[in-house]
Amino acid sequence: MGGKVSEFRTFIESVKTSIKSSVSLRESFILQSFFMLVSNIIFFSFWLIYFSNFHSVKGWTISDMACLYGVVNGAYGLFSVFLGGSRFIARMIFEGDLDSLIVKPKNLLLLIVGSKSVTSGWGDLISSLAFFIFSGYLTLWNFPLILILVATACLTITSFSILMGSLAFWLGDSHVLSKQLFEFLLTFSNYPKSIYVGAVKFFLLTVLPSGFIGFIPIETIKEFSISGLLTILLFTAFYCVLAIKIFHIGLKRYASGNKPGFKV
Amino acid sequence: MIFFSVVHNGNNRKEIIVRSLFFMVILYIFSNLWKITQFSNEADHHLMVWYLAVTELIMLSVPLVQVDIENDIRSGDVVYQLLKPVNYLFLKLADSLGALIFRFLVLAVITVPYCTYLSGFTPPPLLLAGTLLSALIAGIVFVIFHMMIGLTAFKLQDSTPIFWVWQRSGFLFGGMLLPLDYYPWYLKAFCAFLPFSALLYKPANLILHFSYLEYVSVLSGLLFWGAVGAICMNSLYLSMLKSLRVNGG
Repeated sequence: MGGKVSEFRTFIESVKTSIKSSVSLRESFILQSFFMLVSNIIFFSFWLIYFSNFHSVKGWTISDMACLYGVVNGAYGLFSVFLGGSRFIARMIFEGDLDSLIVKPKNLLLLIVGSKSVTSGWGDLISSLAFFIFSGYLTLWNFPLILILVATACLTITSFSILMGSLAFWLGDSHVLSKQLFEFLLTFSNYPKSIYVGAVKFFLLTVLPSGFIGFIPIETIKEFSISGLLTILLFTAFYCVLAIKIFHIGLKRYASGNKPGFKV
Repeated sequence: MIFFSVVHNGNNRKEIIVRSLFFMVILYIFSNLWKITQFSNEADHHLMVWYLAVTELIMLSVPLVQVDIENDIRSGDVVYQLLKPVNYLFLKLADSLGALIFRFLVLAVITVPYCTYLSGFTPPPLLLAGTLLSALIAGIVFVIFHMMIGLTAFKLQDSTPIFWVWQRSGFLFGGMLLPLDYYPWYLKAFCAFLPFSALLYKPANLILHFSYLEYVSVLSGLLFWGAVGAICMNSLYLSMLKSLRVNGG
């Protein structure tokens, strides 16, 4: 138990250092966060124009879309700021950058995940809050549920990112593929449930778990569904365990890049 | 040079496969959205799929040449490139046009059968060819503007924020996902003063409302904004050369 606490402390310190490092370039930090905020608002403006012409998308209104953007942006913002290192797993494996981390007597996956903080994530977090306020779903009663669902969506994104990054253990230079599959995950999660039917819907609830980041949390918030919440929690736990297992199976195949370098 | 660039881009198969997949995913999502949208006219659903295909075709074909130019400027490589017996701008333009033509052709080949499958409708061949030609010209004008943005790195060091503003503005003011006819009147009026509607909305709108008069108007708009972009790009380039001569690079 003491070991686990120590691992967690190291992880927290690592995340703190990454955040300090990303925030230290003040101008870049403000600019990137601001532009991410503007970018999210521009993407959302499509739905404002859409709903000013058409009343609903099979029961989904502008409030539901704002809530969807709130969950997805919040989850992605948390992921970028606190767990951003997992985005670079494929590249680290291919370029042999795990060498310097693998020798440390700490949990390797936590070290990788906490090793980077992406500045633009702060813009996502601010826009998430704005979207929740706009949606009208943010009430004292809903607040704990929303927090849990943003956290589970963040964990699903992180697990998917680890799984895609781990492909590099088998495929070698796969960071372009990993990056693109990750883009697909986010793209599919930004649209209402009624768009997807049949096999595609099944696909989005299993192989590419966009449904658990986007429309399933929204349906759960709308209906305040306990069964929905339990399904999401179970799926998230399963997906996290799967990602950790696959990463460790792949790690046995890791061969050092023999890359000369210098790390402090 | 354009031909060599086309061949070079043809060798980068991984990149074009990923790009084509992304193109197909976006079209699939929006085709489903239009299917469940209650348009006043049933035919609008089919046409909207084609409209989006044209705007996406333009956006996904244009190479990010501004990144290359910025890298050349920041690393100082631009000084060595200026020594070549070819104009630096022509070199970059030729390289970008090669990439644009290759991507455009591949995505256009995908567009026709895929959109026919999604919408159950194919526009008349002449209309389609005319629209695709105007879309390709719009892509060329986009390249000119991207080069201009890249050259701003000489003054600003980093052109990324300007590119972000440009790209996001294109998304909103160019009517990339939804034709400007669906926008509130004041926003549509504002968009008419910007280049984005001439580069995205107008070429793609030919699929929805085609007439020879409209076609001439679209080409004139592209020519006008192409000229504006080229003049701005050239003046930025000349000012960069002047500074290099004065300061010695």
